[in-house]
Amino acid sequence: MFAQRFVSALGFGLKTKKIKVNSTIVFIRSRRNGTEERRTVKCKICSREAEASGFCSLHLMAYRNIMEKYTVWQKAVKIEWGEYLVQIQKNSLTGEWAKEVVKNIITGEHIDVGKNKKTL
Amino acid sequence: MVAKTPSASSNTWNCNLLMDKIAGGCVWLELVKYTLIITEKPAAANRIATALDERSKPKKTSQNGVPYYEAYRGGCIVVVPAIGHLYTITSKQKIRGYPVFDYHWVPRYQAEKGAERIRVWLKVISDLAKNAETFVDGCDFDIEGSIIGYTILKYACGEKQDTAKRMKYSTLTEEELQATYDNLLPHLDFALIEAGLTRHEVDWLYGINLSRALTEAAKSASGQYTTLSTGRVQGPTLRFLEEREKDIQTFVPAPYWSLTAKISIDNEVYIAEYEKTLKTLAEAKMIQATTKTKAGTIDSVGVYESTINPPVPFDLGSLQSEGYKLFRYTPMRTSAILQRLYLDALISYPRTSSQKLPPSIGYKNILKKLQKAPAYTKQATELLIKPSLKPNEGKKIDPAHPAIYPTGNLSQKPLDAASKNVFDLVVKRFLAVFAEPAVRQSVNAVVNLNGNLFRFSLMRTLVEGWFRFYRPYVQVKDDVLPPLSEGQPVEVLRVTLKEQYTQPPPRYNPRSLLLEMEEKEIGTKATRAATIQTLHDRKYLNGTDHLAVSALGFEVTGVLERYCPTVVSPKMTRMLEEKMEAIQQGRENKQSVLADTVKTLKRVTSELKDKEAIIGMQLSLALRQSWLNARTVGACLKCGDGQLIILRSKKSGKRFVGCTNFFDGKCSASYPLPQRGTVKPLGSTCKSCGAPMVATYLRGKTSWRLCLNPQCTSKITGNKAGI
Repeated sequence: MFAQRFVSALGFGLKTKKIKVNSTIVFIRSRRNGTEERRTVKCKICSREAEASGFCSLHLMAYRNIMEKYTVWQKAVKIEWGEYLVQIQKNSLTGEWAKEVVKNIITGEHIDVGKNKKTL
Repeated sequence: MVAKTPSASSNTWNCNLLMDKIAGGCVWLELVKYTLIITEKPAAANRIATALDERSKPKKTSQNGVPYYEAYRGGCIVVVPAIGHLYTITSKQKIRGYPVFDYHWVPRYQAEKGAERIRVWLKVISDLAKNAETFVDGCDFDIEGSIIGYTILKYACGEKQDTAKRMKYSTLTEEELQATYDNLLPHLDFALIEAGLTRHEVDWLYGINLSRALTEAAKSASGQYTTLSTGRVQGPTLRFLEEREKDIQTFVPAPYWSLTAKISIDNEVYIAEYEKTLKTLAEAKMIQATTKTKAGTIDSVGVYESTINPPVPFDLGSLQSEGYKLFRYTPMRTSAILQRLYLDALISYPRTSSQKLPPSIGYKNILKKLQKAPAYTKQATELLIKPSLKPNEGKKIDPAHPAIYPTGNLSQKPLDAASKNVFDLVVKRFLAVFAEPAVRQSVNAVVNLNGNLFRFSLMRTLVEGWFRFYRPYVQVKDDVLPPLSEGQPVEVLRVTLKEQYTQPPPRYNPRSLLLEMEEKEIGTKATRAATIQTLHDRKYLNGTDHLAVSALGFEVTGVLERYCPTVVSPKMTRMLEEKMEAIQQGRENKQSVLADTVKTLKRVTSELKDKEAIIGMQLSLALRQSWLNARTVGACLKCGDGQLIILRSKKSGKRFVGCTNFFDGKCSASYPLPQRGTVKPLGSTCKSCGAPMVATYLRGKTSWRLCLNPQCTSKITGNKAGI
């Protein structure tokens, strides 16, 4: 699913064909001359190279922390997922990259992660 | 041979007569034979010459701006200083590129721009060496000093390194210098030199190859040249910082609760804390509800006494660390101050890792001298009446030098505030290590509020011991201890429930980073502070107090971690340090260490070359971000979502501040800037109008802060307080 999204996000049109996907490295074969081109996919938030999750290694680390801490918050204050995100975004102790991931989730760009958060 | 004639007085006469009669340069030196002493710095040369001259009045001569001193002590002596390293390593191949494995030692002026002065300096040393009969290496007795002396003796004095003698001293006091000169070591410390040469060569190989690989990669992608550097010590150090920064930036706090009870005992108020932290709000509220009572009882009281031993003598790292803690001086600044104090013969050699003070330094003699200073009279007298003096020493040892201690000499000229602070710290630490241990009493009480246990502890000093000698650098709180007994009722004033959050790890500051480097054995005592400074200079770090890794720093570490993880691994640099230690002890040889280094670097550079395009792309993005950050002044006041950046007009070439949204046609905000000097964003806003501020620096003038808004009320009214 991610790979398809990346390829379409890169805007490759009729003249190219996706031939193989290895993590976030996409190899594109030109239909005109058959040459292969290696392209990397950027993180959803910054310009770093993305991993399979769609985040770069740094934002993925923040994402994992958000997921892990949710169970702690749930146990502590019985908080809903959305409210939890708002709370940690407001908190001055939350790291900047974690805040960027929260913003990304809240604005819906990665909202499906909320439902399948254990998969990353 | 004037130096060999038997009568000391006639020698003095001969030597000085020649000096007086033949004016200018070192003409007289062609007529007599003399001992040539090479020192590391001009100040050390002056001090050594003064100490050794029988009349304590050496003759200073300056040839083409290079000073040297003529003294007499049982023979003619010429003391000539270096100015740090006069020789350096450079590549044999003229073409820029990498990998580079062929190198040689050359005079610095051949390898560095702006080092022309070295040419004259070496010419004077070589001229003086021609007629010298005996050669003495009088540089500091450490790795760097040994290399400085060795390279000068080998290259400038015509291979005199094998016959030269060595001065070994830890202070620049007259007594020690004279004793050292009278008991010269018969030859240079070749094991130390071998280890030093290896360190220089290994560091050069790492530095040149990796830095060139990064710089070339960035240049090929961005088309612009920017120096990107890394090295054997820099890489692992940046990695520490990067790992900590990752932990901070990805940190998500978790809530917890704490309960505190304000209790009153004999009309004194104390704060007692609930015995554990509460991880759920429900539990916290339940306990708070059960503690709603006006009275409690003391369940138990524990009284303990603890002995606090005096501190250990200062080694360089612990002194730099204390300097930052007490005065906020960076390690680099503390090092510079210590060097000045050492050259003024006020303290012993500072680049030591020893925490030992051997009796040979003469404790009583130093204390007697310190007694003369009113600030230390009382403490020094108190120590002098002790039947025996035994310092509380630390574990660290340094075969070359003892710990840092005051020589007992007092400055003849007033010291600047920073030097005064550091000197006072060194003296008070020296006094404190001989003092008695301090004794503190602590009382730990447990208060029962409806079955819930709250604790509080109080402390006071019973025996002051070394605290008195180390004030104001030791701060201890003394509480008033009320009479407490088990079962005693206490009045509960209030119980407060407080929501708290887990904290991210703290950022490194220069002190904690230095300690971390020391603990992980990265770099040496002499180079650690400089490494931190280099990371700043390369723009890999933001902030001076709390060190945060910049985007560029992240990219550089990321690239190195991905393509050559061994280079940033603390394990690798520690292993190399061990090998160099082994060379010093004769268990390892230079050639095998260098061969290993070349083997590792061949593999790493080939990998970097293969991936140059990808690495370049990553680095150039970070570089662009770094350039942009350095030029960003703040948020645009007009459009709100743009950023104000420092730009230069293509038409007029003039410098101004404009909004980034101008390029999209959304905002036309622009502000004029001074055209001369350097302008840097301050990152703060004007108190009067809220516009971003910049600082302007002009050479030779005091910098000034400027609000961007020409209509700012502070400018109209001439009220500069708002800016």
